[in-house]
Amino acid sequence: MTARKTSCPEFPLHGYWRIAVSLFLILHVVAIFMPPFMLQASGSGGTSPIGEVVMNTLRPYIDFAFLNHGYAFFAPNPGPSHLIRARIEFEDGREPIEETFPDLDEQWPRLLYHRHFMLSEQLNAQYQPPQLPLEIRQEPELAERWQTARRMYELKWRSFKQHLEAKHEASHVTLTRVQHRMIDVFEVGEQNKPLDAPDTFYDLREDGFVPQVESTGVTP
Amino acid sequence: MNSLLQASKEWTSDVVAGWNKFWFTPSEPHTLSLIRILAGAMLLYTHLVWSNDLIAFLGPDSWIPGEAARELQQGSYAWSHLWYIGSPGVLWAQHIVVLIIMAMLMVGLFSRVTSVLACLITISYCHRLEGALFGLDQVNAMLATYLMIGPSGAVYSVDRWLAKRKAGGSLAPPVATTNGNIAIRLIQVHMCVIYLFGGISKMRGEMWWDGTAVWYAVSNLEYQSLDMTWLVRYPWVIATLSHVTVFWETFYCFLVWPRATRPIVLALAACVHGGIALFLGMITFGVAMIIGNAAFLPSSWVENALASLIKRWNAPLSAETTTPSRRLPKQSV
Repeated sequence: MTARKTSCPEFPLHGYWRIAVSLFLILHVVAIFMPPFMLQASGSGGTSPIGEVVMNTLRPYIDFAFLNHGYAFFAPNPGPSHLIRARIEFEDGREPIEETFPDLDEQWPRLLYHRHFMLSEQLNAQYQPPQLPLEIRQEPELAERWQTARRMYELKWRSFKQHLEAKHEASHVTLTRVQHRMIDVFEVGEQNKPLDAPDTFYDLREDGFVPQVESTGVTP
Repeated sequence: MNSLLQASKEWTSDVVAGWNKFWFTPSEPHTLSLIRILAGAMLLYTHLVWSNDLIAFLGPDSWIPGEAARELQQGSYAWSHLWYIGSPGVLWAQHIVVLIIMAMLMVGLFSRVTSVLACLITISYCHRLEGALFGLDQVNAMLATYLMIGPSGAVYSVDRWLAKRKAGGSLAPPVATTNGNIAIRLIQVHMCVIYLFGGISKMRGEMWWDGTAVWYAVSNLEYQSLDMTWLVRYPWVIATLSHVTVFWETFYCFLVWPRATRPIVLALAACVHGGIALFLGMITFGVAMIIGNAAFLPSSWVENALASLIKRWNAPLSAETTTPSRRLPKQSV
């Protein structure tokens, strides 16, 4: 062990400085706490009003410092995966091609694969049906939220298409969201179903129609 | 009434004393410096991986172009210098500078400056890359933010080595500092918040209660990096892992502080995140969370452990240089 300097006082930070730093620490800890709290403090009746006040007050700092996270990993339940299949067509006589991302054979290292996985997962998480849902037609605030969310979804969708068109110098790209449903213990243990069984993948429709499948999973 | 007033005063004074002790007791920089090396390496790796497909993620025709990324952040106070860079050449030039800064942070060169730059860069990249982020980026940004607060380059750094050389070979031991303590405390508190809400959000799900959640995590083909479906034969193992995970996460913020329970809580953290790293294809996220947990290691423990590691590392080397049989034969004149 090396000799230590023991001359420093118990709390070298004195007076107003300690009060100022304390206030900043309180603000920062509340800013860390609020985003995941607000994710949980919401339900069919809306979000916690007091939470909204605090969150809106601290929002500039939360956004600026990249603190707006829910920390709900694999929660409330692990859910199915989502992929994106792209059909790429050309005007110059080349045959159309299809690619799906994420793809472990194409994206390396694993972190780059995971980035592509997040692109498809988060696009799917942002999905909003193209028509204003019936149940919120009488709720102007919810209708406005739907409109913004739908616009953001379309923006991402369009960006993905344009990226693939530019990458492949293609004339047209068609995107399809694909859900890979979860496989339960019975299917693997008793039926020896492989995890990539074709009937566990199905296309998601853009009109909001959700097919009935024998999935046990719940989207997180 | 007087006794109530007296009790309130004592309570307030105890709270203030506890607050001061927790945040403002100076601490030595060894744990923070260890975190600098590990988090610096993770930041360097994370940004290095962007290089594999830099233009596809940040270029003018990227998955989400700069303008679209700005629109996605509309109404928020997010910011990014990358929103304004369109030219691939400029993008690459700035990215190379970014990699150099991350490498400098890792080795501890000009760490007071590089830690601030690394934090700003990390957050700026995150705001630009909205849509491709996950838990790793949240932990990276958290660690980069707190490394900038404390003297993360005080030991185990090129800065220290340069200062020692300048001082003629001997240098006073590093000083315990208040900002070093605040940085470590903030990492600790932030980790507690992450786990608390990680646990609470899982408690709202059915699968964490019926004991099947871990099965659905390990049998997810897109996450899976090692096939763990053999666990199907041991449902009690799956259920135990599910229940332990949710209770450990929820109560982490209480059990990590007492000395008696801290080693158990940290050992579980190593197991859970080691599992995520090995089996769920998120080696970077698993390792980043373990780095965050390192904030709970006492500085003296880190100092002793690393000193003993360095001693062991050096022992064979010094033996190699002093063992006569290994020496080169003297040349005859």
